[in-house]
Amino acid sequence: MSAITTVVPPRVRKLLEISPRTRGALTNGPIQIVTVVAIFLVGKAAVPGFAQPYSVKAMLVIASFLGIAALGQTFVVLIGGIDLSVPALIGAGNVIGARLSGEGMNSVEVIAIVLVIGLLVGAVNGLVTSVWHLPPLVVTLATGSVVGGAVLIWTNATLSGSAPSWLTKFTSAASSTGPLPVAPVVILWLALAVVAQVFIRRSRPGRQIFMLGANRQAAELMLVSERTISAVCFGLSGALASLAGFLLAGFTGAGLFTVGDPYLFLSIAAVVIGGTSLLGGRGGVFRTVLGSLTLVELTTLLVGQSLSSAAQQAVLGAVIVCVTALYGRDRNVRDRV
Amino acid sequence: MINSEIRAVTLETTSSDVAGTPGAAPAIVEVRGLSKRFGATRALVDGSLSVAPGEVVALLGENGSGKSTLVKLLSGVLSPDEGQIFVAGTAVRLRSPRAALAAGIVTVFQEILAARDRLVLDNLWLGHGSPVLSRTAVTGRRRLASEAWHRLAGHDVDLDRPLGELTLMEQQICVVVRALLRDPKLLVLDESTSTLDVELRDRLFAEVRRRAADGMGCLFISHRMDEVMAIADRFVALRTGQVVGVRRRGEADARELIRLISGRDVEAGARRTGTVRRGSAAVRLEDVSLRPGTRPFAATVSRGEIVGLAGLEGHGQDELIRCLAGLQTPHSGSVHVAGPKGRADDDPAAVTTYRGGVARGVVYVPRDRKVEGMADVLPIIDNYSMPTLDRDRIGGVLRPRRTKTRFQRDARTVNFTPGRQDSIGRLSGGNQQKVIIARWLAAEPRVILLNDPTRGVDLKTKHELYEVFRGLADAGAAVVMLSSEVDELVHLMDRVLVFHDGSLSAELAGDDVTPESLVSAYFGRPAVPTAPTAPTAPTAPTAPTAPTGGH
Amino acid sequence: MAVLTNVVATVRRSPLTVVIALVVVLLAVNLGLSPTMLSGHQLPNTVNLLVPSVLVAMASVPAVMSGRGGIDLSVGPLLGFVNVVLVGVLVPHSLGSVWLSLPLMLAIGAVTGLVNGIAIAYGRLQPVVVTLGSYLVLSGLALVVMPQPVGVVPTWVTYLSGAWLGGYLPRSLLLVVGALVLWRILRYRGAVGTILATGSDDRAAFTSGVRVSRVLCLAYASGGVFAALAGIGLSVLIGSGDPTVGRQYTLAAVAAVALGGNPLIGGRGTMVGPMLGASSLFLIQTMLSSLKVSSLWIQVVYGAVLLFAVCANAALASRLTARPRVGVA
Repeated sequence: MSAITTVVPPRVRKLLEISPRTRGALTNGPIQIVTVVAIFLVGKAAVPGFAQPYSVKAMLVIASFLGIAALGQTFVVLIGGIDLSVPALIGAGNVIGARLSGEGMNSVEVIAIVLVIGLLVGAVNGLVTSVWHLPPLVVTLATGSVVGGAVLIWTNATLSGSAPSWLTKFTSAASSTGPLPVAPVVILWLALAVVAQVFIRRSRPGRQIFMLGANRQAAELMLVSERTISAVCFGLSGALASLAGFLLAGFTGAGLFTVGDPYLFLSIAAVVIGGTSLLGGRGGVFRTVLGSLTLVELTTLLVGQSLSSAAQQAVLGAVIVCVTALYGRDRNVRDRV
Repeated sequence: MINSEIRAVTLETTSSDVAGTPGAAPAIVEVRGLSKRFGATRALVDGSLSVAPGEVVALLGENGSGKSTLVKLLSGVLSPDEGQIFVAGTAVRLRSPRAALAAGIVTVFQEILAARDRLVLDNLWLGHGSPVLSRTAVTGRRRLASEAWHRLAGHDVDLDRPLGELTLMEQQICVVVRALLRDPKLLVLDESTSTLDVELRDRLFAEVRRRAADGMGCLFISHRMDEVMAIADRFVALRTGQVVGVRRRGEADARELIRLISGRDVEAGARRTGTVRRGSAAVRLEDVSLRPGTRPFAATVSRGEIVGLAGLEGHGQDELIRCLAGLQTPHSGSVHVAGPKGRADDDPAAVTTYRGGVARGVVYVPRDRKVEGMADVLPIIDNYSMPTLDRDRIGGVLRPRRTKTRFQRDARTVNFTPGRQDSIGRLSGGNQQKVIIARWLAAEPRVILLNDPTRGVDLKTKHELYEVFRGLADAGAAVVMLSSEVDELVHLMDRVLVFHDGSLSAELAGDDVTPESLVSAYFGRPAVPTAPTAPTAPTAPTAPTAPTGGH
Repeated sequence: MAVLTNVVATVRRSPLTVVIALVVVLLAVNLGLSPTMLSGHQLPNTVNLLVPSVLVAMASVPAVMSGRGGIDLSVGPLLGFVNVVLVGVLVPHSLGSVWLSLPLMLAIGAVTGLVNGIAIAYGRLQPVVVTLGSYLVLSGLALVVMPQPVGVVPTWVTYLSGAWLGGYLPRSLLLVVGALVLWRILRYRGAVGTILATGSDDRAAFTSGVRVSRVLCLAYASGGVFAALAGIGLSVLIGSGDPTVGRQYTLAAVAAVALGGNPLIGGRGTMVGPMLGASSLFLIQTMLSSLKVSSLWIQVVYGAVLLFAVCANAALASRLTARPRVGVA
């Protein structure tokens, strides 16, 4: 073993390579929490008032809208899909909710209608993609376009309706939930996340989601029905998106069809930053909760730096890529041979 | 003991191959002291090996013995932690497959690596640089490609078809021809024969011999002892990452080699003895014809027996097992499966869908583990429990502990010991197969369909699997197993159905199942009854004991 | 007879069938509605409107071909960014001459694509994430460089908005021709085949000696160059700078690729298909506007046609690539 040491792999490469075990540990959660805390500390140091209770509460409210929509997106990403109809459904939930409430309809009925519409559109997405084996990207783009257009026609592209008063309170950063000092919408978001976690861990369809995402062909042979699971995942995504839209009405006051537009990429970014793989089969819902928090913190931080919205966007884009680089990296082609 | 052997090996290789030894031709490729670790695992320790011009060296070892690592180091996929590779006496660093190819080391990997969307022609010339292609260069490539294909396969191929439309065997031929087109100095064949049928395998061996006569070296890796014995001039055995022995042709028989690589005695190729306790019919095929125009046939599989399906690749056995699984419907006729009481007459029902089959106790272990058998990123337990999850529900909520208990029970049955690994992708091929079989045991199957289940599985695990299959049959299941390996058919099966041209051509049972009778039936010739020991068979089928089912 | 069946088989086998049919039908309807659409008077305007969409669809093609979830979401903002840089930076600094500004803009496109490609190939990040990041960065930067739509384009760009032969040969087509020539060169160099092979199975390409990482970089860089050409096309069309108009081209480009019959999983596909796909999306728009349908309907019809076309493509593909599927009924 004397002259053999001539073949030393480049040190630099070794430093950059994270061992599979470390990467596994990283993608399993702690780093997402560390990221959330780290950005919070940076914000506290850099932006006056960042860590004030009011500002934290406000961030949580904003995060809950994103978080609920991203929760739905998570299900779709777990089966290896992507849902681009989220913004249209947020817009639809928002407009329908505000219009019907403005016409004096009972809020329970309104919520039911909103949820059913989201669920149906989502289920159509799921069925179309699974029955004809079409790329979800294109299908959801198309249905999103149809739904968005229909809402436009219905409202004639104007601001309409009004949010019920309880909803305004429900989503106000200043309000609290019983003894808890955060707005009810935040509690709702976290409760939904817990339910979703139980669903994916402790139910048969929940486990089947992972199998379908990891290997479609093998899943079929293991009696996983691609149609059912796709319909469920896309349906949940649709329902949660339209719910987020409805809740946003409390924030915006009236129904506006464009309210969902920023959520197209934000909902995907929250899922990815949380560490759920776009290739399917790997990830989880709590990660998306953390991903949503990270994104909202970042945006607040950038606003606090008094950057223009344009510059914010540019920085955000770069940060998303860098954060994902920490734990969202694919396997090297060498390791896959 | 092992240590002394290694030292001896190292001494031998270094003394015989050091540059400057007069008379001996310099080795085409020599590796010295090659080591590679992955985290805490030492995949290869101080591996040394050389291949001389015209020499065929067989690399033997069980899964995890370091063969694949050595192949990946030689092909530039991985870089060694220690040690050197010499090509024609010069030390080289193979940083990428491209560098290895440039050095004349051409590898055909175990998995068929091919761009299935691209045309056959594109695949054959994949990676050959990108010159500005003139019309003559293009026609030249076409001609060379079709010539090379014809020489290896003995038939022509449509070069303008997408590769994915070809059969698995043709895809395998494609990657071998691709390697040959590069005019390798050293050809590394890593399990490249596993999808080839007997005829093509012999053609490949002939081609390797022809090229070896012109000075090419070959490193040949296979789990099949008969193949290894047929082609290799020298054998290098690996065990747990270390070279444990080198033998020349004639110095050792199959038994000796198996002892070397496994560290113990394993029976190979012996015909299993004992009487078969046949139960009632579990599967009945009535007037089944697999393709338009093929002769319809009938067959029955009873409980308690293991029936082999055999034939050259693409002659109908694969279609039949898929028909039995309900994954495809026969061109005509029907497949009947006995009902829950286990008597075909009780409740014979035609199986037309996969789910319908599973509901009647027909389970299927697919051929391609990675694609159809499992999700390699998911935990072992998920891969085990997926189809039977509803048993673990209490009030609609899954209880992971119940799943775990079930898994421990079924894992014992298939002789699988759960280790520290979490995802199934980290297990060896044999252990993956055990998990997949355990998955279906949980469904309490009456008919077990196994599509070439020991493909790419090392000898030791193979024999463990045989015991499992035997145990299942003894417990009353009907086992139908497609196998492409003659030894396996001889060793394990109670009966063998041989297919030719899309139809059943012979049914062999008992002592009629011999290598010769099988091979002649493969080619559609009537089976010769008993015959003396085959020249290629590693051991005479006279061994009195056979590893029958441990239960 | 044999020839005829052959032709029929080819037509049915081609992934372009649906999109060609769509374009023919839409063109006929359009001509029926406004027969002057192809007249020398109107043609240049029509073509100028069409060119950026076609080029941006071309820009998405190489990324999609390269497989493993390959997609370039940044092409839309990139085209807008190129337009803004030309009008907001190069012209004010009197760098607007064709010999300076054209190479500079192509370089911006190539470098942006290259950065995407490096992050994807060497950083091993998922393409959606990387190009989403550059989507945000580029659309932000465009607004930083030019907060409001202002400015004028250099004279050579204005020149491109005209036409030869009495209006029957719009000069903006030069941009498309340029892109096609580049693609043709890549094809002759074997690069397109390598991109497709990598997209089909990158491990096969890697072990066969293809430098996979470089191939990915090349794919994204060439897409970037096409997007830069599209940015010039946009400048030709609007005659000024606009920081926000670019991004809406991204999703239209993805739609055009899917319409054109290129599978989004990569490994296969043509360049003509997505170009025709972009044209059919454009023709839908002109049809609706000449039908005097409210502009609000455009989105709905867009979505419906897209859905129909991908379904038709899939139906055709599954019937013809007779690959044994694991059908579990």
